[in-house]
Amino acid sequence: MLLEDKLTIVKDGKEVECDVVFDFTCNENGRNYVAFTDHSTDEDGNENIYVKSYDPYAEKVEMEDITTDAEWNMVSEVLNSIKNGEV
Amino acid sequence: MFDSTSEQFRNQVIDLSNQISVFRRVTVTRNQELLNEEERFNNQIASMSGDKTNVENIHFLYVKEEKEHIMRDIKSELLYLNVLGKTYNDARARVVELAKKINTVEDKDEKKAIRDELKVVLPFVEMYESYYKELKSMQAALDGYEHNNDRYLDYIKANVDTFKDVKNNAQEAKTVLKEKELTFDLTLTEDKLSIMAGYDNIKLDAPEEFDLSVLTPEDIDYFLINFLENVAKNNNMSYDELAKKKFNVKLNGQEIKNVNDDTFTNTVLAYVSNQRKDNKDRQEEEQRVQNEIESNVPDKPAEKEVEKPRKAARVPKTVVDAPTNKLELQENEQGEILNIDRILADLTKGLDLAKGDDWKFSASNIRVNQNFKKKVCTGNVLYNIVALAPSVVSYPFQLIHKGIGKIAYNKKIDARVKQLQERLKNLSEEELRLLYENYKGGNLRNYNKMPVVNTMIQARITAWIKQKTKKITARMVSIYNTILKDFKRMTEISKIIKEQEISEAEYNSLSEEYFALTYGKADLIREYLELSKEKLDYEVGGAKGFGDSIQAFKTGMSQAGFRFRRIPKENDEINEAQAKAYEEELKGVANNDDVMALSGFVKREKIISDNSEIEELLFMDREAGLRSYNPVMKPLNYEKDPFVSDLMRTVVLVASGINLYTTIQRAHELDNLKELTETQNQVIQDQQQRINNYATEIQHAKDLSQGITEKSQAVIDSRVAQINEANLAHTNTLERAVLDQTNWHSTGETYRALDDAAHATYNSAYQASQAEINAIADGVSNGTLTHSEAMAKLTELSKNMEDQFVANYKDVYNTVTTYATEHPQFDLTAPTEGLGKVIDTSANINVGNQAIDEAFKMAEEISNIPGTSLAEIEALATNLSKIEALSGVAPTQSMIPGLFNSLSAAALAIGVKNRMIKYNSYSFLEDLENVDEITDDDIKDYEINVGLKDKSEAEEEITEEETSGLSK
Repeated sequence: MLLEDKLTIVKDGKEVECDVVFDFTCNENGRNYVAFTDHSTDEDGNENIYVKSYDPYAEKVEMEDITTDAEWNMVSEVLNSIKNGEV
Repeated sequence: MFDSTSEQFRNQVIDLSNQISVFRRVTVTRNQELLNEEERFNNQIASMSGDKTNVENIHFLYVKEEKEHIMRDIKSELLYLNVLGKTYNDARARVVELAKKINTVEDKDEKKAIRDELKVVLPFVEMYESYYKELKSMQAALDGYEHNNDRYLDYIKANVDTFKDVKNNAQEAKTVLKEKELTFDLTLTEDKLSIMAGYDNIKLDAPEEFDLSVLTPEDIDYFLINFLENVAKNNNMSYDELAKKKFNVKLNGQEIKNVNDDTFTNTVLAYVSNQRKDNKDRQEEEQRVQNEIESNVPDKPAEKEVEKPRKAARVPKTVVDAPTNKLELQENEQGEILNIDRILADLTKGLDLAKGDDWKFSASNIRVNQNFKKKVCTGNVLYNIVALAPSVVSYPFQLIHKGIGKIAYNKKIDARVKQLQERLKNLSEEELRLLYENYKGGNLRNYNKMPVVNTMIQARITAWIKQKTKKITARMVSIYNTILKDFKRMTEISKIIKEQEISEAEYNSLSEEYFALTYGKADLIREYLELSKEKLDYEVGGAKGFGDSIQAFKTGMSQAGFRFRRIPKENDEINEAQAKAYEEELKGVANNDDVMALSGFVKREKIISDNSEIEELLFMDREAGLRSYNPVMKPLNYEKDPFVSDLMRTVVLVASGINLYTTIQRAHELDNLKELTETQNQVIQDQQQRINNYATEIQHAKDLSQGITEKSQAVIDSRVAQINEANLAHTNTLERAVLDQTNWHSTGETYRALDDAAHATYNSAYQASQAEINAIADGVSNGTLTHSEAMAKLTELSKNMEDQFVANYKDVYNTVTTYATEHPQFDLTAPTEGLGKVIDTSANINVGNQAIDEAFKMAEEISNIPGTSLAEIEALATNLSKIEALSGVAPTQSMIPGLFNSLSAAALAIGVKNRMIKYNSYSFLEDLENVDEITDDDIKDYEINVGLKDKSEAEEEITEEETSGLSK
């Protein structure tokens, strides 16, 4: 399915537009996860990807950080499957 | 089968409680007056005319009449209890059953469930039984009450001359009432307030007494209205004429002139509060003096004078107490000491939680950006997933996809997750608080628990906090509005006094009102400050976590999230003024100085609101300005609320979207035609014709949109009007129902009782509905309610009002039919027909709801296709190339800028629609057909059933089946 969305973050007090790179739904908790990038890089030259999650059925959608190992592992696996052409 | 959780039972409990309350206020009062008849007799003499024969006749008749109508009221109540008899029997049997059960169960949860059910059922049983006994004892007292003619004849003989004078005075009194002023004599005792109404030395009625522990402003209002109505009626004046007069209020003998019906209640309440405060102060002073006397403190030797260091300036006492580090042990209901490990152990007991593949999260419905996919697959670019992402301030709604309709749980963990959820739901308040305290600052996330457990606990605590902050916010808004409203009136008064020419009397009256308005403000503001602290504590410490709050602070967002934005402009002058105002406010609160507290509070609010603006985001209101603040100070008129305009925009866009869809489809056909018959003028003409038709459709779309907008606005209006109409129709219907133009007594008795009950219900229902409407509007304005929540609440409120209206109609109908049975001499066709009109009125309410349903059905139809703005449709008429571009190609965001606005609008519309509660059809008519004819025999049966009378007291033999009354 096509994904050509953008969203805006605030970084260092400024608004920055980001490209959404992928998103998906977690089967266990029903939350959606969205990964996006502002094309900035870290010290090693790797492009930064940020991830947020939200409850798509909530009245008011609030983007939250992910902090548990299970969530991080899941995001990594999705990234790997994209890399391997499985998605 | 008896169900203590059923809505029917709950309604019956509430009905009974209301019934008792009205009865006690109306009939018990009258009963007491009757039993104190001698005093009443004296007052009666003062207002009657005629010779001594008439005196005794009138009094006798009065007593007889009064006794009869009270007996009828009691009987009516007993009949009502009979109707509830089955429920009472079942409830009592249930109580016995539960009482036996609780001693035999061991399980803690089960015991708690039993206790909870008893808390609901037992009060009903006790209330019912005590009410029944009260009625019976009143009945017995009145049964034995006989008017003693001789006693009064002697009295009259001894005082015949006085009567002549009294009679003359009474005549004179009537004629000069219009010129005289009414007086109200207030006397206050430890627990009662007594108001004696009259003029000069003539008492017009017996003193009205109020129990201070339950005194409300409505009681005073009711008293005054009732009194004025009676006086007006007896003196051939209109109520309005009388109400316009100023009357004198005497407080413990000291006169306050020129109080009118608007200021009467406030004056009385202010007096009561001040007296009680004085009494309390006096008592405390006496106690202090006593303590001093009792303590024998020897004189200290004179201290050597030493130069002491300068003390710091006295800081006003704040309402924030220093935290104590004392370890507080909490206990649950069983007396066990709560601890976090115990709670967590119980939560996960028996769930067999262990790390492993079971707890791996899996993804589905994955969507990928194609450019990103290409880059990743080349392997030339490496990616780094970053922890703690920056805050997102806007996102396209298209992003919010619901994905798979149902969560596909990993089947193995499903049952355990559900059990964990259930346990979390059943945590007690103390346990939730303990979890919250330990969760604060994100501690629990790092607790040695499985990730899914932490996630679920986090969700539970967040929900609990949101519930708490909602309640707190609601109370804060209520206090805020009270203060603002009173302050507004005070400003008006100040303006009048300063700018207008007024008499001394008016000045006194206005000053009284002004100071009455300041009363109690320090307490209110103190409560407000304490609540804001509590709320902030929850939001900062709990829901978002410390890390988020720091992040939010850094990015300029408020600590509550997206709602507020602080623009980093500082202004020394404003900061200084605000700080000074806050000092004044806190000082006033600390010293219980109402005026100072109020002044500081208002100044601070004004500084903040003067420097604030509203900035709109996608479906969020954000306040930008020097100070981020809750925009409560805006006028809270729900009709002008952004919610309504959002709703209109939604519906308009949705409606236009439907037409675009049709247009695109037809454009597709058009393109095919063009390819085949490119050179044919006829085809081009056809194309032109179609474009012209589209123009018609555009107009139609506009008209349709306009129609829906108007319709939807009308629906919103009609819904609120309906709530008010329900109140109005209710009270009008009841008035009409009980008043027969030809034969009914309209001087009191049953009419009054019904009228009182109707007005009591109407007033409280009206006030409740108005309060609720305002609360909903407030909630949307300050963000505690989302748009769809507000819509659902409005719908639910209107439904509740209708239900109450119908329930009251039933009560009236029962009473009227009972009365008709006992009074065949009266023609009750008119009231019955009037009650019948209720059905017609109710049916029309549904029209408004139909309209909104139709509008949203359209939204549902286009839920899967993109919409667009009207501008694009208009452009189609003149731009063929755009048609070509559109035909056959799915519109993307770049082509139609308004796309995602429409999609989000559609999603909003669908969301609102899905949450609307449909009206049920009226089924109460069927219930009415089953209303039985209640007779004295029925009452006797009932008394045997519930064991309040022995079988031997019954007049007839009754079989076992009929007496059991219990359903199997």
